Amino acid sequence: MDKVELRKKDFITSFILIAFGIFMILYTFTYIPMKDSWGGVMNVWYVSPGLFPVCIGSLIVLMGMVLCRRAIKDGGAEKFFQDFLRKKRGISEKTLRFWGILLVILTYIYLYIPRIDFFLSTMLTLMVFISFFYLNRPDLLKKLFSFYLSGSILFLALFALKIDRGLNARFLYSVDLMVFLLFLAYIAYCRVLIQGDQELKRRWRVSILMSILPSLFLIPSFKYFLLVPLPVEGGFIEMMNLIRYAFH
Amino acid sequence: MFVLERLWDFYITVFNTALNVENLLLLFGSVILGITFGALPGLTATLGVGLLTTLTYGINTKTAMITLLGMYVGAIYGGSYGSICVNIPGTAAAAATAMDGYPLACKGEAGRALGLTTTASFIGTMVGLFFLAVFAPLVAKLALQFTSFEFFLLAFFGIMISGGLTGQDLVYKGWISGLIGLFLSIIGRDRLQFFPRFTFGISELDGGLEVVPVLIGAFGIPQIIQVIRDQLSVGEAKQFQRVLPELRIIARHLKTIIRSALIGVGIGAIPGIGEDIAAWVSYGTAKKASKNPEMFGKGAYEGVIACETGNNACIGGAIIPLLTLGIPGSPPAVMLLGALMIHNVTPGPMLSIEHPHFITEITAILLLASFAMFISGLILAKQVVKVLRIPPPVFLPIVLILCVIGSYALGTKVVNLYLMVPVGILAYFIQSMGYPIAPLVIGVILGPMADENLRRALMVSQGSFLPFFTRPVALLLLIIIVWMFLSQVPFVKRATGGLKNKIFKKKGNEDSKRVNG
Repeated sequence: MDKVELRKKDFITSFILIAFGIFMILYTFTYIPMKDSWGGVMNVWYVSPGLFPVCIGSLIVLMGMVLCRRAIKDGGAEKFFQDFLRKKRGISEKTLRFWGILLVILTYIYLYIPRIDFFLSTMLTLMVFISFFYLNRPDLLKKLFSFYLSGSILFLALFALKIDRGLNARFLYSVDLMVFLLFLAYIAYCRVLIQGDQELKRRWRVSILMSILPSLFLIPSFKYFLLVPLPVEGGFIEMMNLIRYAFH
Repeated sequence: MFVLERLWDFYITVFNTALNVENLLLLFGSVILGITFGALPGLTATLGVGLLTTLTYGINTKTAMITLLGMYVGAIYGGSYGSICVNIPGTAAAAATAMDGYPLACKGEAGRALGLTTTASFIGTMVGLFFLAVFAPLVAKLALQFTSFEFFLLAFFGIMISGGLTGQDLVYKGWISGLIGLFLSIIGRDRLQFFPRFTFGISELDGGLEVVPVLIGAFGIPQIIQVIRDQLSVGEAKQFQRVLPELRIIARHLKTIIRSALIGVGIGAIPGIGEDIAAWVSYGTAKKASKNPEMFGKGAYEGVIACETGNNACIGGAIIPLLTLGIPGSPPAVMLLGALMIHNVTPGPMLSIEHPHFITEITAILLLASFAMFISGLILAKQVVKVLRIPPPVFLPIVLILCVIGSYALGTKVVNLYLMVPVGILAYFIQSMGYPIAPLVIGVILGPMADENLRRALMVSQGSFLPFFTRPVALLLLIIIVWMFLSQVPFVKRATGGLKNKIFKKKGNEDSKRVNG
């Protein structure tokens, strides 16, 4: 990153730091007792649990100010105001890739892991993550991104409206089944997009394989050898249990 | 008598560990895994140790240390494979190795370069462990004299120096990173009065942020995002036949080896400064001291030897402050600290009293790990290089899954994952703006130590700051900290710069007079 661009970011960061430091100090003085009694112990300022946060908050404000001064001196503020007035260009490939990674991580951690069978959510995440970037074509990435985002929004709505509970009550593992359908639909959509290209077809096959094999290795290893109870054990892990304990 | 006793203890531990087949298998397995991990671009020793930590929580401390130290030694050495064969360092620690390693590979000497790195890494690790064995007990004894005043300043000094030396853009960016880490360490109930701080009524935050998920998030997620976003691609690996120890070349560069090993140990002992800096400083010094500096960058054996000796010697150096003061010397040592905490071993001055054989055990394991690395390096180099063919978009998603399962497995709490992601994204953004990550995680680790000891110290002195000035070690630390701050003030910078110029100008004039005279 060039120096002026870096200083522009420093200029913005310095304000965030100053605001954050002030927030820390205000929060401490508002919510943490500096001199009052807590748990039967009468506080003096130097034993207070607020002492350290106030020190850190003050240092953050100080550092923010130092950073701001440097950013202004090196032309960061000027660059910030210039860019602020200029019209923004379209999304670059790098930005798209960044959003792709973020989408995969966020949906995996916040959407699927707490609600969907862990094996299934891992398999879906691996498939999406590998195919997004291993196919290595920006046009495909855009289409696959939109497809996966739409599917995830659908499930988000399902969970937010608590429809999943009703569905699961009527038919066991029905939401797992729906996510599995999304997984299959995603694979099929990928296949449609890459028609005719032999190299992409090979990569598509590798993506499928690498989404299934590591999941099949890692998840049973943690569950049966390290005895780690998984976040959600749905239909697929139930199936694994049946196979595992059939031999006992 | 004490020394003989310790030596006896050391040999007994070495033989006990080496004669246990299970331990030996684990050691070789983790070293090979470490070499593979280190060889893959984008995967660091820190991440490797962190991920393996999550698998060791169910096993005993000694076995856990065997696997983690094996991984650490293997990964630091394994980084050179990518540097030499494809000109992409597997780890930051091996970046300097690429300067001469790849040109050697281009000349058809990849096998020889790998032989040199294997032997140099082995010697470097041995020197590091020698210093660990000799100095760790002495530092531990000295640290027993420390009180809360010294511990508060020591924690603060650790964050300051790590921030100051790792900040690539501006020094105070490293400090800001450390302060963010300190803030993260505050979240949860304070340890003296159990008052909830910055928990916002969320009961899951009462216990504070768990260290390992934070470490995995801070090191793993930025790595994954950066490599995938920037499309780091790996070229065709250079071919080679055999890897031999190359003892004749090593013997010719013994001076470089000793110098680089000492640099490595010294840099390792400074909190938060990792193997990468040790390698670069060793490389730079070797170039300056060389009779043929023009050969550096074109395939000089000396360059490869200096880097690899320096970065591996750093391991022993980094473990000295970790075990004796509870302050990790390098980012992978931060992970080791997390692992020790999981196993209920609290590093610091009390370690030699609570676990009298622990330092000896660690030294013995390090010795065995360096032998395992040497043997594996010579035998398996050709096979391990094959992993360089795996494209990053295929293996990094699997690393993400490992990060997730690893963070979750420690305590089986989904909330750990909820914390790991924001920490990872924050780490990615600040890293891309030139803020180093090491001070942030050191801040998270040393925060509670700084907080508790500051308040304890003031409790003892009834709110007086005077002991900070009357206790010699405290005063020394205080002077260094204040100097580090002041050295960044433009006025002080100008004044010291002017003073330096005057001194050197005067010296230069005297020298020229002497020459002319």
